[in-house]
Parts: sequence; C-alpha cells; structure tokens
Amino acid sequence: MYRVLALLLGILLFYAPFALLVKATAQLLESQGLIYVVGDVHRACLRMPINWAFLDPGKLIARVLMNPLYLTVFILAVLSFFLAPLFCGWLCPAGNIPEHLNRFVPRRLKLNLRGKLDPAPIRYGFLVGFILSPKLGGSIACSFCNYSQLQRVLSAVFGDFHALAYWSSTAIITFALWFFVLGVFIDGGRGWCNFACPAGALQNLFHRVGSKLPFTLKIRFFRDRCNDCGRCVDACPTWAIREARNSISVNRFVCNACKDCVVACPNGALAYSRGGEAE
Amino acid sequence: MLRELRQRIWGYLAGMGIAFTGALASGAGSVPQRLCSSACFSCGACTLAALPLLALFFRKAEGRMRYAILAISALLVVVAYTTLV
Repeated sequence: MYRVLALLLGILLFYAPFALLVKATAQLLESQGLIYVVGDVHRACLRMPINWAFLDPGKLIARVLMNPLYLTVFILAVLSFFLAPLFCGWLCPAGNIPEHLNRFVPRRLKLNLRGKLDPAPIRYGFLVGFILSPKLGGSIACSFCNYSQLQRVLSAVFGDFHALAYWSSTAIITFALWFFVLGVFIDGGRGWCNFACPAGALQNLFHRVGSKLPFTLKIRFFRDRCNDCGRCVDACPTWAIREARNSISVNRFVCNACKDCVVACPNGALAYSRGGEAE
Repeated sequence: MLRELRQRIWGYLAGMGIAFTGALASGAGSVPQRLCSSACFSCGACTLAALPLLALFFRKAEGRMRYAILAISALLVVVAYTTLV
C-alpha cells in the first residue's frame, strides 16, 4: 500500500503533466533570470548524465549549469550509499508499475529466472557497455529508455497524444521489452531494472560500498530469527535474496530496498536498519 | 567456485554484448536502415532485443517457456519488420 502511494508520488514529481520537481526547479531558475524550458521527465534524465560524467565531464558541467536536474542521478547514487536505493524500490514509476501489475499475472505465464540467473553481472556488463557505447558508434541512452516510454503513455492518458506519434520501431520494441517481456511477464516484474537500467546499476554500486559501513541503512538479516521458510526469496522482486546453507544472502548489487522481504518474513528475520549486514 | 566465476564472466560479457550491439547498430546506419527504410532509427533495439537476451533466456528456460520465448522473438521480428518496411 505504501509503495503504491510512493509510486504515485514518483509520478507527481517526475512525470508530465504534473512533473512537480521539474516545474519547481524551472520556477527557481526563471526567478534568477535563467532560460529554462518546462518539460517532462526528460528534464530529470537519469541516463545521459552518466554518459557525460564518464566521457565528457565538461559537457556535464555545462548542462548542469543550465539544468541542475541533470544531477538527479548522482544525488540518488549518493543517497543510495547511505539509505540504499530507495528511489528504485519506492519512487521510480518505470520500475514500480510493471512490478505491481506483475502481481496480477498468473505464475504459469511468467518467465521464472529466479535462482537460475544472477542478474548482477549482466547488469554491470550492460552499465559498462552503456558508458562506452558513444565511443563505439552511438549512445544508447535514449534508444532504450523505459523512463521516457512511461512518459509517452502517461502523456497520452492525460490527453497529449503527440507523444505517441514518436512511437517508432525503437519505441515499440523498447516498450514491449520493458513493459511486457521483462515487466509484467517475468517473475518479480523487475527484469528491465535487473538487466538494462544504468541508473539503478549506479545506485546499487554505491549501495554495495555503503552497506559495508555500520552507520548506513540497509536490509539486514538476523540468523537466529530465521526458520528457513524461504518466503523472502519468493517475495523479492529483483531476485536479490538467495538461500545459502541454512542462511540467506542479500545481493547488494540488485537489492532496491523495497522491503517486500521484510514484510514477507513472519519472524522478523529481515529488517531495514543500521548495523552490520547480518547478525 | 570456478563455475560461479565462469557464469559471472559470461554474465558481464552478455551485458556488454547487449549494450555494444545496440551501440554498433546505432552508429553509421544499421543494416535494416541501409536495406529497408529510412523509418529505422538505427537504434539497435531490435538486435539488442531479439538476439543476446532472448538467446540467454532460451538457454536458461525450460519446457513450454522455451516456446514462449521463441514466440516472443518471432513477434519482435514481425513488429520490427512491419514497422521498418
């Protein structure tokens, strides 16, 4: 219930016609006399700034001076260091909508790769490829952006059908993959996040480092309370929890701190709190 | 240990392969753009979608799911083809 409310908040903050975060930033900049275009979710792009940061930092600085929202992905990464990737698990509409709809799809219709495939290597291989892609021919920042796909849909829902006019083969296939194949019809509903989201990968990289420190918040495991029922493993939408010899392990490279495992555990063996990773 | 390491290396390569295939296809003009139509945005989404990921899934899937993946691949090819031509 709280996650659905957070999802709605995410839509209000980032997506047109609401885009409250974008509009608030625009008003702030306009009051200082800077030129700024009020837009949609693209104003807070979470993908291109990653490319710029690694390949052309000067460009990133220049763009950020015009539009500070390009820093969003880096702010989220730093927050993930201390709080875990709460944005991914709670606020991001592009990840949350397929996940929530996925719950209504019968299990037999879902592709189940849980426990068969470790998503982390693919995810980070993709991140490296994503960063280097402009050097190899062309950036894939916009081509495979599920974040903007949702904007097209929401724009159409709220009466702006122009967004759908840009649905090319790229958009149709990206939408089909993000929403259907790796969304509602894959176990957990987070296939796209697991494999092809560079913003999520960056946040989890910071989370992985931060989780080693005792003062950061993270999903923690209490061995003495666990009865090996395995409910947390099934509940995790990102396949981050694995059973391992009378214990479980939380893969920090994919855990998005949605806390579904905490809710699923009948004995309180998992908690989102400060301290060591496991006790 | 060795098996896990091998799986991990294959995972990294698969992830990079997905991104690089898309990047190469979106470079100086993809094969479908050269052959078929200027409607192609040369993004490489079709290549990215249909080949490495589905191949990986096909390898991991079992039973009826394999047929489902084949059907999805065919659907993607049809969508890409009909959009391009």
